[in-house]
Amino acid sequence: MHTTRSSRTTLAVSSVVLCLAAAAACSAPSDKSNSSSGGDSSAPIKIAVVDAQSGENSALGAWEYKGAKLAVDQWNAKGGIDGRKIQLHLFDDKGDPTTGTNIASKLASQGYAAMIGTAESGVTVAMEPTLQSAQIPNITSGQSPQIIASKDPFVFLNGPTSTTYDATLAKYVIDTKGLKKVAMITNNGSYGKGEHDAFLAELKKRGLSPTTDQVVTTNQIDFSAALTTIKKTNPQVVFIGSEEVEAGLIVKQARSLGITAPFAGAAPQGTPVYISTAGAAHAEGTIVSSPYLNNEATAQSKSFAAAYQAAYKQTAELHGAKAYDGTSIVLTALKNSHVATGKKLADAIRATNYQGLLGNFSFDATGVGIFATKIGIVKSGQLAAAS
Amino acid sequence: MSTTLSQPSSRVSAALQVEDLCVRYGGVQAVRSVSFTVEPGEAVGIIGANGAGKTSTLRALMGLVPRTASTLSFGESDLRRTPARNMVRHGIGYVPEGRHVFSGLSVEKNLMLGAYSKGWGRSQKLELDGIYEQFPVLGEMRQRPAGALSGGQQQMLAIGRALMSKPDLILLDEPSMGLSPKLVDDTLAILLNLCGAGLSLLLVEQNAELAFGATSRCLVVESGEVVTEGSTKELRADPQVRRSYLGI
Amino acid sequence: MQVFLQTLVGGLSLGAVYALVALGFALVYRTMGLVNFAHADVLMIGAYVASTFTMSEHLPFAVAVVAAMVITGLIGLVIERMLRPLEGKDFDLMLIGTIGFGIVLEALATLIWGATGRAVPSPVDTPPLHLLGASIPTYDLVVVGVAIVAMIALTLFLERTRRGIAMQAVAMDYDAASAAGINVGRSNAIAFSIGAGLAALAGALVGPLLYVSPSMGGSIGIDGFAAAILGGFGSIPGAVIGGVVIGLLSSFSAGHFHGYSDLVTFLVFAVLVMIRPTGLFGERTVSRA
Repeated sequence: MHTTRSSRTTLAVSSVVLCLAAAAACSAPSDKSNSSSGGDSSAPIKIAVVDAQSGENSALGAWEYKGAKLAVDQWNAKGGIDGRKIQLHLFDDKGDPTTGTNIASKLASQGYAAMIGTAESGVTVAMEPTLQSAQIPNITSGQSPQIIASKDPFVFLNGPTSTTYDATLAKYVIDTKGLKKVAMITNNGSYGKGEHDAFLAELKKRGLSPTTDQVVTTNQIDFSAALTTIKKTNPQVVFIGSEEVEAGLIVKQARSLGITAPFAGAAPQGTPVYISTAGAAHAEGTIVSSPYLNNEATAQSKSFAAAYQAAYKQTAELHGAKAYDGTSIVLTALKNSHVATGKKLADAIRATNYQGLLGNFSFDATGVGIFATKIGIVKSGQLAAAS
Repeated sequence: MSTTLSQPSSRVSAALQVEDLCVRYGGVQAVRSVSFTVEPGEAVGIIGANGAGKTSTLRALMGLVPRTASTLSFGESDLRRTPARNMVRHGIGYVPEGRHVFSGLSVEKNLMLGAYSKGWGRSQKLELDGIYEQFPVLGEMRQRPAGALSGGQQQMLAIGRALMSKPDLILLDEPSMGLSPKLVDDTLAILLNLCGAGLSLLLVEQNAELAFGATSRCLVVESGEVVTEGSTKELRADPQVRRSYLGI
Repeated sequence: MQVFLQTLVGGLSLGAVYALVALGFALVYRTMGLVNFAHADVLMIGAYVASTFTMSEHLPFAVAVVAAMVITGLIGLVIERMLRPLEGKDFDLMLIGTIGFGIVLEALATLIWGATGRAVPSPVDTPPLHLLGASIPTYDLVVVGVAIVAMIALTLFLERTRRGIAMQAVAMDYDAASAAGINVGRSNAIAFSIGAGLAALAGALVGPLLYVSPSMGGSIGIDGFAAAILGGFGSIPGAVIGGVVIGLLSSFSAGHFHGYSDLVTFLVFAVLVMIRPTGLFGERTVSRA
């Protein structure tokens, strides 16, 4: 084939142009179609963990990060995914929705394949729109029904919703134990409101009303008024919809006011922070609805707990287990889809059936994967399965 | 006004000696090489127009602004490195321009603070009684907050406060400021009284008449420098002084 | 009636804590003319130090509190020493300096004790007192008692002792105070460290009532600051009254307005301050160089 001088020049110029274009496409960090994770076949896969690392809920954030990191470290030790290492980056949302949304924008522009977190429903709800438009799948520990209300195809829960938690709780407290006089105390944050609405619905289903329905704020520190009102109605059990520290304070003050009825609640009431803030003696008898009661339940949880202990010299608990499950699901989906991103990754996650520490995950169209919890009772400062 | 004022302490023979005093604020030379002496028991005045550097001279002596001098001594003490809070210990009292009483505190507490460096014991209580005798109006208002006093009364309070530490030398900065002519006359009487009791006085005044009346010798300061000095008799007769400062 | 009394009890104990915080603000403002923005974080350090002494070293509560006050008093001395070149010269920079110190203290606490925080057991184990149908936790009485003692001690110090009176004079007139023989730098150092000690006292006392974490100073600090403003910034009795008012306001509005209690509390506060901007006891005359 002859190549004339002009056609060689054209070839040379077009090759240069093509190379430049390819280089530009490969290195554009603000390219929303996510080049750095999906494009280059040897670059590490970036996953973000966003949680409170400071403030009242920082305990949850710390546990979640440890759970996620354990999963990632185990996968990397086995060679990563398709020969690529997985990188986990931690962001502190300070438990604040505004900080969370700022982080969401950052994630969008820096090529993260997926996000684990947050542990707070309020922050998760705030971050949803940004992550959805950036098409970054998010697997969260939040449980408020508000999270799935917008029918966002990119959000997944690594645990049940408040509806599930409270359905199981109501079944045990009201149906099994026959305690029909229930007082309610919840806070007006995203989680608390979700719990309030879900439990109230359960009561209504059974034709019951709470003896009193008290609402407090998320940073309240004196609960005398609400608790005295509760005491006057003489309930058999008090339903509590509030996070670890505040719930602990509520229980502590309740006991000093002379309220002897047991408390009942969801995941936060099963944590060591709740028990130590309330005081083990005061928290005794708390009825907890949770998919992960303790580390001894199954062989899988035992080995998870052992690995967690070895890595962090700490006892594993629910939030670490949730994050471990959630991260494992994302990694499984990444593997099955050969490191897809955006909508493809979201679909892959939805299609993943995973046998986790919390149970069997099978995601529905709204992003919920687990539909059952168990009942535990706080005994001597520890959470044990109810008999 | 009675003349019962307790005698100053044993340093009656202390003279204030100042040589080559210089003060510089942020690029401006406020005082250039001022030198003078105040002999024991003498009353010396510093007069000059507004902004001439008179107040800066006094503040510099007290150590309230940074200054340099080749000599700055009172009696045998070299004061060149002494901070403002220790001036009292060397027997120097200070009545600032504008009085500067502690307006939120009572008259009595204001006076007692004048004796802060000596502690608050019996002799300070006696000193206090002496001040109330000399200035009965202060005695009447002793529990009132100093801010509630009139200008003239605050003047007395500021002087009383300075006297509480039993100084040998009092520096007064423009005591006539903001006072009516009647009060200026009262002030003159107080100053003469102080001299009569043996205190040395260094008086800075814009009101030359008051300065001449209260002192035996004056310095005339312009733009931070001493331009003339002499006995009050000489200065009263000086035509330039008469024109510039007595309005004659 | 029972609800009213119980809410009163809750509000008063809360009020006692806010009063202690406000006292610290008031003292430093009254003697240095400075609003100390590190105050709330000093409170947090006090809470951590005291709880470390009781929980890890097993010292009796009173000893732990005193130790916390001494240690934070020393921290106060250090902060004042570093801010001293600005005293009497650049007030605004001094203010910013205290904000900076607050941030440093929070970071230090996170470094030493971690970000998670800790629950502190109540030092008083006796069952609550029952009075007129209300249940009064004994520890709450301790807190109120200590706050009252602190207020009396501080007032006596400022109004009756030579150093206290001199401390007030320094805030009113820096130069005149120096000329009168007062060592202004030392006076400020002592004022600042007493203020820090008061913050530590508040922190040590409030720890068992709440939860100790590096960010705990935030909302308590704001409420204490509001209490100081309400009472008249710089007034000692005002700080106490302001603290009690804010405490009662918080508890009663929680009882009546539930989820909107914060909004109501600060609306009432805003209205009160608009009606009387200098606070209930008026602002003490403080001049700032």
